[in-house]
Amino acid sequence: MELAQRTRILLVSVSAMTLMVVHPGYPQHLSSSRPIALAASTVFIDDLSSIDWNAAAMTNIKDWQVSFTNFYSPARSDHALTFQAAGIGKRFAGGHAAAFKFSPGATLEFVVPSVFTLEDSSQSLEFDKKISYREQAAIAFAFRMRGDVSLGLDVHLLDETVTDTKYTLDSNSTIRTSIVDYSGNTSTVGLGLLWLVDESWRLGAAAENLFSLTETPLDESVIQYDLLTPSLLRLGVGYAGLKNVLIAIDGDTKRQVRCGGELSLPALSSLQLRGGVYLDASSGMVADALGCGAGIDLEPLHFDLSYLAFLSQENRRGDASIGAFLQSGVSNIDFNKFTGDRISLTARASFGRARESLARIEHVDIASDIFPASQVRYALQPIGKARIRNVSSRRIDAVTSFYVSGLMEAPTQSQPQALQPGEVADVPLYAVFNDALKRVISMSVHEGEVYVAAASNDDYDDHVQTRILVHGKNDWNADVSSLKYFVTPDDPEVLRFTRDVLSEDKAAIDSVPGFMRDFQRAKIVFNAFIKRLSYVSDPKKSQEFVQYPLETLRLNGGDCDDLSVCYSSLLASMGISTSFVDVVPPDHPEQSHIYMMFNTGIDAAHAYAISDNPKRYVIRKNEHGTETAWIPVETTDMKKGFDEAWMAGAKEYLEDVELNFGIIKGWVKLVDFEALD
Amino acid sequence: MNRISCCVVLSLFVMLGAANADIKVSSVKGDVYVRHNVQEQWVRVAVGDILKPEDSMKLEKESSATVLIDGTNKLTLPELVIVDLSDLRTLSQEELLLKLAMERIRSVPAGQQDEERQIPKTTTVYGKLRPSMESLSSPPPPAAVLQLNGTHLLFEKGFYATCVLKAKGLMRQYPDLPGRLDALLMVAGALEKMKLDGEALSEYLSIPTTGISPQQQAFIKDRIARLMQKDE
Repeated sequence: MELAQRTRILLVSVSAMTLMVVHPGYPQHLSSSRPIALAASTVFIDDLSSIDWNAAAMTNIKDWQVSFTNFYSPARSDHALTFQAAGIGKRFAGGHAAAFKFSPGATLEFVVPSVFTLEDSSQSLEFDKKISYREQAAIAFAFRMRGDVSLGLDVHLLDETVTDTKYTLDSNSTIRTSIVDYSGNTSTVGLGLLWLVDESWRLGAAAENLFSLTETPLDESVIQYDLLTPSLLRLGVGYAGLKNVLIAIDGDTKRQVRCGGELSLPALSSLQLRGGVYLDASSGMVADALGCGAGIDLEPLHFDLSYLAFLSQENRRGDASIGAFLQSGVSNIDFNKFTGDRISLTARASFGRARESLARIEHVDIASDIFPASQVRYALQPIGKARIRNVSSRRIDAVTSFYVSGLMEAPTQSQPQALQPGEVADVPLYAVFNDALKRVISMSVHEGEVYVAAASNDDYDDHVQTRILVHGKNDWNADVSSLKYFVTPDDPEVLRFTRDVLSEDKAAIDSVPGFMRDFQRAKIVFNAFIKRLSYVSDPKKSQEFVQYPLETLRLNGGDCDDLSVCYSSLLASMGISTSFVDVVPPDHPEQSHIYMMFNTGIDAAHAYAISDNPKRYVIRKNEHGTETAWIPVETTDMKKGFDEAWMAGAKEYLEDVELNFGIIKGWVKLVDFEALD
Repeated sequence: MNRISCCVVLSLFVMLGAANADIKVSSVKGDVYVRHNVQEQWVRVAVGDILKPEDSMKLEKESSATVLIDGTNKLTLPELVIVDLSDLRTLSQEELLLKLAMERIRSVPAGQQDEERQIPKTTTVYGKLRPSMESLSSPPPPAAVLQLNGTHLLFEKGFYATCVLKAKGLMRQYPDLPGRLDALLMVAGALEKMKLDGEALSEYLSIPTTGISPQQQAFIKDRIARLMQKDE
């Protein structure tokens, strides 16, 4: 911008003896009413003004928070209310928190009047110099390192502008003036630390202006007005051991000391009264200012009012000596010689969770996929675990819940887990699935929700979502211990089959001694079962697919796993216990196979009644502790009839277990299915 | 893998080799039979027959047979025995202990083996439970007596481990087996031979002292005292 004025110079004077302070604003520490009144807020800050005081304390905010601050300065001639700042913050799962503050009212502007004056016969023109400092915005991030220690980082974006007027004389003795804007911007970075020592004590530290990043430096010609950003370390101690009272004290490397306290009045519905004193220890602990204020909770809103009064009003009422300005400059604009009294009002609203989290879910591990056939197992054996940490400063009893929408009627809950502050525990997750699980046709992904609650109310302290892979209802995880879950002795179709066969062959059953009848029934049902089989498929083609007995009976076929499962179900429906024999030859795992055994109920001493050759049966204890004879049956070769299947099974068992020690060596496994009486 | 595990794996490997060895019948006198694998029938044995470890031999009264194991070890079987040929092998201490442990595991009721928590049964049973057996008190089959005789043969021939396993199995299956006391003493003696003093001591201590002769009582007391002394 250039101003040209063709006139005669009568006088050019430079009068820069005073300057006016306009819109006194403080980009760093006066953005919220509570800290202003409390004076010492390094440790007891719990709102968005943590961005300015101690970013680590942002982990104390509750879920979402928005905040607005206005202030009124009596020193201002316009008596207007100034919109100071607005901010938004969010605390995330795991104790992280982030916040952003926009501060249009955080400005500090100086006017150096009448840098020079042009006078002619008709008019007198004055040209002022303006110096302004502004904080545009600030961002911060905090992280709870462990239950009682948080670390925070803040970045403040500052800019400064010097508007100067310059004049020149051209060859025609014409004065030409031009207005020049010099601007610069800087980002300052600070660190904060907060340690909740115990329920009473807190320690904090904040390093302000730890380093600066200057994007655009101020021009050399006005460098004397450059905003100073010296590093500063502030330490704070807080004590909350007295009932309804907080006491805090801060001290920094600029030898400024602040102390204050807060009194809560529960009888007056969460009213808080607070006050503090600002001391300058560099000149003999002289009080600079006093703060006082009050706050009230009207959930979810909270209002704070504060009044900051300086004991000396010199240079603080809107005009000051430029000598004072040039002598000290403006650094860390918190308390400079130009700060004026102010009344501030902050309104903040907290959304989401209403209280501080006491426990945190650090990790969720779902150990395996979900197989619908094993539905019962998940209610009794954990499907995974959640790592829970006590992030509070007291002992908690944490209850962990697990829920899969659509597949569970209600969340399962763990027993309360007692955790000391900072302690971690792995809590097993159980799932009581409903029948919808058994209708899952093919593999699908579901959302699993894990909650931890440490308080007695319904609110939870942390929540994590995890993925659950649910297989189709016929999928099998190839673990023989899961195969028994396909055994359904109470299926009406299974019961009908055995009832029909047994009634048809009643005479044959009655023809044998009573103690042999289970054996006889098993044999008759076996032979009746194979009569209706129209095919036996290759097990290799459906290794991870198992038919339910109902399906095998309807399809009249299946592979050896399906037939073993079906025959087990038929036997179990008659009250005969069965066992799967899982053989995985160590040298040839590809030749692994499964056959089965059933309990004849014949005691060991009379087992010879089944066969003269003891290698054809296995003596085992039954559920009542009696040793009885079990018959191995190979279901792959069912078509040849019971006697052949028995002989094949006995031969395999002799070879696998008796001769080759498969059970001792761990490659033969027996999985029992105990029939209900 | 520790040393014991290595020994077990190595000896199992050696043992399996022996278990799979062919057995040739080199002489037969009287009524000597073989039952192949899990077959029911006993068939006469002839000189030159090649038998498998999974077979069993039975020798009737006044019969005997000689077998050649792997073409080198000659073994003569006396009358009135049944021997499972798979028992003609030497097991190490560790193998025997594992087998005994396996027998114990296998004999645990199914419900206790289940790793999962048991679902309590809510069914109420009225009246008496059906007896699993109809009060049968028939004596052990003759085959069991011959099998027990076979265990004495195993002891004599130095197959102590298979002797222990077979005898214990028979006594468990047939508690009324004649010659039970002798069998118990044999088992304890076989364990001593295998230098399993602790197990041998337990066997001696488990032998009921009632209904046995003073000489036998004195023998058992002496063995117990010696083993306890060793233990100290």
